[in-house]
Amino acid sequence: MAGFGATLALLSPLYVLPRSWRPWLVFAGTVVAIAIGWGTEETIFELAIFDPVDFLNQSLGAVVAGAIVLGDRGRVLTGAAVFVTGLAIVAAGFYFAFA
Amino acid sequence: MALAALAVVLAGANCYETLRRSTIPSSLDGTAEALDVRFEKEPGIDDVHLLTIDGDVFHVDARVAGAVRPGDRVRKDAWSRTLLVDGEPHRLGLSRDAVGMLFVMPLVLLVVGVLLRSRWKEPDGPDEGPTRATTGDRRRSSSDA
Repeated sequence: MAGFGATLALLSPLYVLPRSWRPWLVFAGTVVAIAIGWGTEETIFELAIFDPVDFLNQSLGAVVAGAIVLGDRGRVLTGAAVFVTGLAIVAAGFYFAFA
Repeated sequence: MALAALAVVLAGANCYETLRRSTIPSSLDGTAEALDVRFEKEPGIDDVHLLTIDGDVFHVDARVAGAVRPGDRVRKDAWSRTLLVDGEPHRLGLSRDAVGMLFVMPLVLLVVGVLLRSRWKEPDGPDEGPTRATTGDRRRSSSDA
């Protein structure tokens, strides 16, 4: 959930750019999100060990978020909604993981 | 296409990683030196079992961890489902995580495929679709007038 939500929030600024720019920017943004996920998994979320399955799951969440942003025809308002939704999903992820 | 390829690689790696914890793909031959159990978010449910065999550390599932104790002689062939512990055979199977992954990963790939396919099917129209329609409506209404 954290990978999915955080990537949605990270990619939401792309909604202000022309849609034709999106494909490679979405891919690059998704890769950046995956790299950030690796970093957080190695540091603040490393509980017992670095768990490749946790990392791969959150990376797949990032790819799903990328696929959603890539196919979405919305503009700036949709981008704002995507940003807020992304943050809400991250918050929900934290709640379910640590509550 | 790049996102789809990335999804396939990640899903495949996820399935392989959970399968690897059953030790089924691995070839083992040595003496278990240590079995370290570490706790994650839910102790007793998502514990991490680290089995050291002749200096190599293997992240194994609970079934394997339950069959081996430090000092045991461990042997198995790659892709064999039988683990020999001090000569005694133990049948290996997939953990609940691994089985779940084999069901969930194809579904995730299906979702990614549907999302990307819906994009490919749409022609790349203008960025301001709704604005254009409004302009067209305005034109029509002005010509009507």
